[in-house]
Amino acid sequence: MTQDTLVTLTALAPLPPIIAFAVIALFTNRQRALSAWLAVGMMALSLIMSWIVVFSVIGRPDLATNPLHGSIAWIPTGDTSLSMGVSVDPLGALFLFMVPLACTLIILYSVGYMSHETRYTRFFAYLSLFAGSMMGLVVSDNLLSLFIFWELMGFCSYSLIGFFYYKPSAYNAAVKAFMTTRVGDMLLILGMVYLYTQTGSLNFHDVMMNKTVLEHLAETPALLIPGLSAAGLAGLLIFGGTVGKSAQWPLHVWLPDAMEGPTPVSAMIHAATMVSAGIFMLLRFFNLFAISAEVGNHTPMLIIGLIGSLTAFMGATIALAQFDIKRVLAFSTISQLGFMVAAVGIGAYGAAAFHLLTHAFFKALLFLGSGSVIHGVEHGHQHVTGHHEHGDPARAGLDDGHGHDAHGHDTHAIEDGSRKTEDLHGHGPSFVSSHSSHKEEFDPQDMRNMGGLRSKMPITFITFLIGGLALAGFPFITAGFWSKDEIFAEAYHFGIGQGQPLATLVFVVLVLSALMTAFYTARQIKLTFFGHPRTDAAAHASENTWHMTLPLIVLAFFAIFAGFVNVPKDFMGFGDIFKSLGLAGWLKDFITPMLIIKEEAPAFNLVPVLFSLAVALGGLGLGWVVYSGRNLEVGVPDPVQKLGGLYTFLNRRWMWDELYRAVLINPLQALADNYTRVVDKGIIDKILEGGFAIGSLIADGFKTFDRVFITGFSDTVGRAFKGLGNFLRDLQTGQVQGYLLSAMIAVLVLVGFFLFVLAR
Amino acid sequence: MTFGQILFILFGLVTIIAAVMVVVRRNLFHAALFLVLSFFGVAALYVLLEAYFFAAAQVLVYVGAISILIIFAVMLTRGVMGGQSGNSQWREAAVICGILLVGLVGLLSPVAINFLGRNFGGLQWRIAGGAAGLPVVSEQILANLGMGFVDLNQYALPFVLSGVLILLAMVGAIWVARERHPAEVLAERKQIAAELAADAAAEAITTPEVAPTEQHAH
Amino acid sequence: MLNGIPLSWFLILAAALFCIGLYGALARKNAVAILMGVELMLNAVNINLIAFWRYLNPSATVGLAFAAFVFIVAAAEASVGLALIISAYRNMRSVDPEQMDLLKM
Repeated sequence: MTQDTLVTLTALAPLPPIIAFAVIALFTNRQRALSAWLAVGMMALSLIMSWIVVFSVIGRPDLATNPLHGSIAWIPTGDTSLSMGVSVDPLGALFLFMVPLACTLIILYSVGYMSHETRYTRFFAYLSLFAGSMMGLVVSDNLLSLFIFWELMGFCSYSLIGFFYYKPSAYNAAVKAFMTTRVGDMLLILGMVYLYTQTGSLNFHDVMMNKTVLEHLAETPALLIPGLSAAGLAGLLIFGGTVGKSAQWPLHVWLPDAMEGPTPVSAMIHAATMVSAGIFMLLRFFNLFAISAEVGNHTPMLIIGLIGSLTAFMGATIALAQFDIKRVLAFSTISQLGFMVAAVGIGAYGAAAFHLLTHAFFKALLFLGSGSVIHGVEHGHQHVTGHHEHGDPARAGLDDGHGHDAHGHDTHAIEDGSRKTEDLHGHGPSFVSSHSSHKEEFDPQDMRNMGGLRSKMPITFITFLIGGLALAGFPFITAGFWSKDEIFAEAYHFGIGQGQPLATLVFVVLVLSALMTAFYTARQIKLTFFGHPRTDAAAHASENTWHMTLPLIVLAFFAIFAGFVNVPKDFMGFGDIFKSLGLAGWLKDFITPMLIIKEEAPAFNLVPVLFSLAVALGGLGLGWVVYSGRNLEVGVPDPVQKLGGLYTFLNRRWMWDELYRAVLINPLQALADNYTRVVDKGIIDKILEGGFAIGSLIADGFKTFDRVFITGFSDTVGRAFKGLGNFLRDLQTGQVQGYLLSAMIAVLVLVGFFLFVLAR
Repeated sequence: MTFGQILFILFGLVTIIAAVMVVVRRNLFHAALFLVLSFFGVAALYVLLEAYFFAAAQVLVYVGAISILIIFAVMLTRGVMGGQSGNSQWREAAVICGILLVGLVGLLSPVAINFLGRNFGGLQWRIAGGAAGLPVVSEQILANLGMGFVDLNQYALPFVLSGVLILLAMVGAIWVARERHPAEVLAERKQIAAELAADAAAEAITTPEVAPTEQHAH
Repeated sequence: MLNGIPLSWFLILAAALFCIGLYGALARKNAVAILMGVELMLNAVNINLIAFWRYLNPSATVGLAFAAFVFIVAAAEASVGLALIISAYRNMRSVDPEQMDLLKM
């Protein structure tokens, strides 16, 4: 195929899902089956188009320096012109392979999973737009259009997490996700503007692959911040966007709540779209950090590495103490994303990209598998209870209106009843609590309500097992092993090999996290699939339709084989086998030309491999032993609950939500509540009065200075705060003209500041 | 004083005075009529600037379409007027706008003004043609503009997108302002209320879950 | 015709028009009047664009093109804004923006 055809195909690839969105929203929103299959078909079309492009460019050795690229002028701005376009470079090709595949499978899966939902077509419309935005983000050739798709995804995730908008928990989770990522996006915008002012271009290839520009950036001192180069500042601001979107500490709090949405949405967010987008962008800007480190400024890399390691460790520990099957996976996503960010922090570009790829496959698999389990258990529950819920007058409206999904799976409030009980009693509830009474809500997501599903849902079991083993890094046969091993090898090489403290820390933390990962994976699999069913619902669970099992099987295939594209060349035995297939180290060779500063590949070293084997097998084995026999019986407390206070701390997710509520949300709300009257009584009057008040306060202060210094001082401070409080009280009127006036005042102040202070 | 200067001052005064009337007249209908006058003044200024097409477009779009829309809106929402024209923050708004106006005039004034040790105004524009005076506007300029709108390397994309914007605005306007049957509104409100009530009931059922666990704990 | 008129006259006129429009948007007690103020501000911007085109670079089309886009956006804005006002009037029987404070939850 010619270059032009390929460029056209690339540009068209994101369109089918977006068209599907428009068509479903406008025309077919009453035909359920038609809408669903339209979404699947359009996504499949997009998949075919992307794969044609991917497999055409994949053999080109100069793809990094000479990417597939086409652009048109977007808008001429005086002397310059902003252009918009598409490009496929090695990193983009990798994503163009993974994203449409995962999206297609997830949408196909939704056909079965959402089949009882009343707002079925709306779901497919949103899901299509979500997938289309991610596709657009992947093929974007510049940061501005990437940002547009980035925000579109933010909107889609908001609507999908809040899909059950009539539930306060879902609504709150949607708002939380939107607001939290907004914090990161604000930083991203600042970084984008700063980068543009420094380079005059937002095109990835022009900025990131141009050593002159990068060196210029690295040598320019940053605005306002001493000791940081422009490259470092721009990179860190952009990393802020990653922190928000990829749920890194301290903005990780939205991701666990995001599972308030239906399970396919969780799979979408956790694997194929949202969180991958953050890492994808970080990898896109990797050269900024590399050049920074090259000229001796290691701060940006250090920050990234520390945040990544902290997140990896925190996520893994929290996942140990969760009972909700999806919540365990949510925290494992946070932890695995931490792995990737930490890998970027130590300069392991290829390893981060590789782990992102394999993680996308096995995490999508695990989420879809958990959805299949939940669906099965939910059906078992309905089988057992018959229609008793319809007889319950209080719930009848919901059941009639919204099928099982509205009250069944995906109904785990942030502060639901069961968690309150756990917290109240310290040692937590036991397995028995869940079916002691039919009156209370049955939670089909709670792993304590499962057990013994191995024989009931064989396909789900086998695929989930493959996904779990990949997550744990089961040696040699799973993708997760190869990608994690890659990160370990690089961390070991830079850390213990070359003596970089950050890499050493990353290595130690990641090894510990990997151990815990293997442990909680074993725990999850054992609790869910082994032993005897602990509830009637689990006993009557059954396998799902092919819409749901087929994606599982396909993803399980990739969860195994995706790892074989990057087996280290000199890995004992395996290296030679894959060398003969031309696959050994293929991925790394393919994408490392994207780096402007080449690092020599670490030679094969047995020590990290041994660590990797030990933590994977050790964690899995430990989990296997702990969660067996009596510990899987009904009524026995989970062994992790014996940890006491530590368990509570972990179960409540290190108390971040509580901390944010106390430190940020409540004071801000109080401030907002007390922030007005100014507009009513007149801002100008107030400013004048305030000036007089401050003046007279100062006069008072002078008068009383030599008499009662302490009293006078504290009075002044107290009154100043009171005056400020009065000034700010009730400014929040909700009236548009008042806001506009405030904005105008702010503009005047800023312009004055610029004219009289900055531009002097 | 040249003929051009006289024309400028004449049309400028018409525009400004009409604009002031727009924002101070209590009667909205009168304000809308003054708005039309102000738009005409602006159109005259376009003629002065030799942008004849834009003068015509100004008359067609603003005077013809937007003013009519506004007058319709005034008439459709009639009967709610009364009291004074300004809202409770009009004094502050006047002060802010005054400061802004003084600042802008200072910045743009042809002669330099010294304020707080800093010079404002007296900007030197790189006027086309230099000392020889402004060049004549090419006859081709409109044709060039039209070509630019269909040229992919110029404004084709923004142009197409603005067409989409107009379409969407039209559809949106019709959708927002459509007459809704009272029964439809009522049914929608009822459904929302039912969903909320059912949810509250579900919460109420979930909460007693504490009880059995407590028994187990003791 | 432009003999003896400096560019700054047009700019100052546009600035004045903008400030008047801003005052209308900030201080009127009627949503329709706010829209009128916004239209005045848009007109001020357009005077600027066309004056800059005429004085600085009359052979290029950039200034004219942007002025045309302002026209288009103004038309869209007016239609949506007025539709919103009419819809709000139906629901609240009022077009006083001070009574529309649903933004305050």
